[in-house]
Amino acid sequence: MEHAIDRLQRIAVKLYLDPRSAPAPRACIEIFHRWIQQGAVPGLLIDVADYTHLTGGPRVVLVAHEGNYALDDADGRLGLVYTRKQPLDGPLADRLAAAAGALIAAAGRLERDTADLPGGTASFLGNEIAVVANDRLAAPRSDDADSALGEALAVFGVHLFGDAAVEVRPLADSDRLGFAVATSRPAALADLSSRLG
Amino acid sequence: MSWKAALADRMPGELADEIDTFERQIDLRRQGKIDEKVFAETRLRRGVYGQRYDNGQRNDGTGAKPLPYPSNGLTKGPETVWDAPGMQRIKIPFGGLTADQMDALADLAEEYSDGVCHITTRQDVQLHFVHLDDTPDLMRRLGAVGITTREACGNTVRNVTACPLAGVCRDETFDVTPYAKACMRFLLGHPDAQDFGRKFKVAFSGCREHACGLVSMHDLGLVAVTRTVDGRVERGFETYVGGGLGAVPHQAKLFDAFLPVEELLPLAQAIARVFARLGEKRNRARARIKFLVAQLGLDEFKRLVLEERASLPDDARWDAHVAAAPGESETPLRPPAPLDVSPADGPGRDGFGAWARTNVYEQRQTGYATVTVALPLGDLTSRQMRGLAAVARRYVGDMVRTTVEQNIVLRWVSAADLPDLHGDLVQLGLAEPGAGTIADITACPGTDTCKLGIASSRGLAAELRERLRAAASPTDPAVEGLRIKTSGCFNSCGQHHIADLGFYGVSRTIDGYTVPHFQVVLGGQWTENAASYGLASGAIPSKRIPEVVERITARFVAQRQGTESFQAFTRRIGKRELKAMLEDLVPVPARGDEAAGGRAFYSDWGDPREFTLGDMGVGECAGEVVSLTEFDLAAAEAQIFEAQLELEAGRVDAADDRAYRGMLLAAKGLVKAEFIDVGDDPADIVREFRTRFFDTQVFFDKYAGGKFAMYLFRRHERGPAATAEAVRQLIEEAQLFLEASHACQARLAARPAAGPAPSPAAAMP
Ligand code: SF4
Repeated sequence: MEHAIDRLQRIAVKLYLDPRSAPAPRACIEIFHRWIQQGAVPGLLIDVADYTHLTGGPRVVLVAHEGNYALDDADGRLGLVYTRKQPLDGPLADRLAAAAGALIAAAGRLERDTADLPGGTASFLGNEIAVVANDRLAAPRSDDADSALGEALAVFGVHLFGDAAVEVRPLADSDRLGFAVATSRPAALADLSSRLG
Repeated sequence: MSWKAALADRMPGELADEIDTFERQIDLRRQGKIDEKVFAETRLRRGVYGQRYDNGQRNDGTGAKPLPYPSNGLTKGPETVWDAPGMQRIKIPFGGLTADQMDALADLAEEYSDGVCHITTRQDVQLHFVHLDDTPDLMRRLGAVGITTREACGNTVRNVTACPLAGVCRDETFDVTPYAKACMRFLLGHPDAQDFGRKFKVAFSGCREHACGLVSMHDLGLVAVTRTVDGRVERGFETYVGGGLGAVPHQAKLFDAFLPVEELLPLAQAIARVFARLGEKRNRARARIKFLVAQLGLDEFKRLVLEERASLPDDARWDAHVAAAPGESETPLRPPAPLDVSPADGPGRDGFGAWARTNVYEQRQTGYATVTVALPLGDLTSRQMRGLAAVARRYVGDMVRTTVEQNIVLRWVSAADLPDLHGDLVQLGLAEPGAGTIADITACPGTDTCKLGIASSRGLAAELRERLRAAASPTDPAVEGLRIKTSGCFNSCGQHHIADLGFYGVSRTIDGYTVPHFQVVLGGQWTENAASYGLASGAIPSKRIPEVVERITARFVAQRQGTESFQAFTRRIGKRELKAMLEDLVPVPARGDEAAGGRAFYSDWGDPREFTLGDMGVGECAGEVVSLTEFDLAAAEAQIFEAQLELEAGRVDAADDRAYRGMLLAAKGLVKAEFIDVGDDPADIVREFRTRFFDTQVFFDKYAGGKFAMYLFRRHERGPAATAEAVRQLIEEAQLFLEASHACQARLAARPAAGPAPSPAAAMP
């Protein structure tokens, strides 16, 4: 039987930056503007929102029609988030892969574009991805939705990390249904990307 | 399951219907069945605003580039592309928020916006980058926690604001909260407040001296006063009209030194009627009530309003809304208790002393304090908003208010809880000191999101804030209390006119390049309810504004005489000297002059793109002036469309009812053009329509004569159609009646302009 989770469209995915090597949020303003000029990441890229004066949330947002990219520290850890807004085709597994694919492409680009920055080169941890169901209707915080999404993410994690032993644990301190999917065998972004196809 | 179904019984039926209607109007616009101008005003009246780049074009720094939204030419207003993200303004009357409402706002920011809530200079909340298609569900989720976005924008009565300290202030005459609430409830959706040429803003203040209410810059400003008659203390309002900022600021004029509280709502209604009847409709630039007051003169305006007031039939809601006010009071969550630690910093209390000095206000009620949560640029993340809701639940319950300085206050904090509360705010990143100081800068959205923005008011504010905080200790006390306010253009949404140091965005062309500048406005008066406006002292390149602040504040500190105010200081120094001391900051280095930092001058704060004015669009602040008739015709269209759906679903009775209601709405819309007070009773509508449009043949079609009107008369007289076939025919007739109504409306609009005929009520002595 179909579960409401299967209709989940608003998916947010996050990769974490290695805290020893992260660019200053301000540096990302210019980078994101350049991405718009170059069409550097997937989507119709619209504008950059500067929230470097805030903490505990988005710091710099690259607003796009299909989904936003944001340098974000909402959970206390700096990383890159892709928040899907427009519907994606296919079953949930395909939609998770598409959202993660957009994120990984942007993360790779950020690593390359910060390579020469004196202030900090972006380096992403390839052992963990956080997935949040950004839709309180399709994915309310209930045991039922919890286990449905958890199961879907266990399959997704195996596919993404190429590791049968991924750990799927609920995100602490999250108001929305969300999980961290982690592996003990970190992979390079390029490998993650190629597994998603 | 949809949000509509999930929340069906969580809001008043009327509000649910309104949102359903709005959703239908979105559908109809998508099908091209509503004119784009009518739809634009319809959405604006629900707070659904356009945003920069929604014309489908943006300069990315290398040139203007199309933004190929997948909208297939569909628009949501003139030159406003359907799929372009927009802004949702959420009215928060008098700034009052409950913890549940804060949670809901946090959820909506995450799901539909970019994860950030923004507090405006009129106590609203705004969410940016919202898709039009998401707005009905967004509104339902707000409706479920008691918030309506109705009339958050457009040519309507906007958010009714009031001092955030009302009820706890040491200096107030009385608590204006219940009166602000009454005024909001009474005017929301009131038929007399629907046909303005522009917006209408109302503000309440508990006293004359302080700034919190800013009544002098409002269309209708009310200051609490009392008088004693025969030993009895009576409450009233010193009433002001015709204030406003904008390009040319107007100080409000005293309308009445003592308006008894019982007269508050009738007078507001009378003013609305006069404004709707005589206010400018075609020229938006002169359509605010301040121009009407100026044009007529205060005495004549007053005479007309009082005449209107005398002619108003009694309305039971006048008394019902204000009668309970004096008894209304808030119940604190925790008992009063004194602060048992010294407010000096101590172990485990990092920053508590500095924070307490600027962010804590001792309430009139012993043992309680009001805490200001200072929000940088009025922003807080969804996580912070939710965290603040939890803090509110822990310490104060629902006693939270937004402020016109773009902050949030927690009222009724038991003083003994202050250290713990501070600790909780530190955890949330919300314990920044300096509330109400020079570093607590107010800024409008400017070029970040506003279509009219010329320069980056938020970028400038962020830069100044960072520098002032870095230099904050020790700031000279003379300077600490000054206010800085920035606007992205002359429209003054950042309220630069009433700041000690105000800035608004302009541009200058240097060697063929456009360079962002800010006009410097000095010596405005924030206190005494924004008692005086500042003086423009010249345009300075944006990147040199921090030097302007440093230079002027340093001179103020050095040359201040005794306790001289900043306003007195600027007056004493004189405009010529002020301009002279900034003169060397005016020249802009050549773009290629790297040694002088030339390139930086050609982009704006926080935005590395080469500066351009090419992204400016047509503002929606005032919306289009759309007649009440057009609104009703649009609503009729939605009803008739809905009738078809009902019939398809086999609900014959409902289909019949909707088709009938559609015709009534169209007829009512036409009647309103002549007689605004027509009610909702079908018999009244049909009678008025017959007298004014059928008997006079105004409604008659050139070929079909009065045939279409007969469709309405017949359904009205015979009652519901019995069979599906009969209902199908009725729906077709309703559609024809609607078309005839549109044609009639077009003929009326083409007539030479003439003032609307007075309603019978207005004509009474
Ligand atoms: S002052 Fe100008 S830039 Fe700022 S919000 Fe108002 S219209 Fe927009």
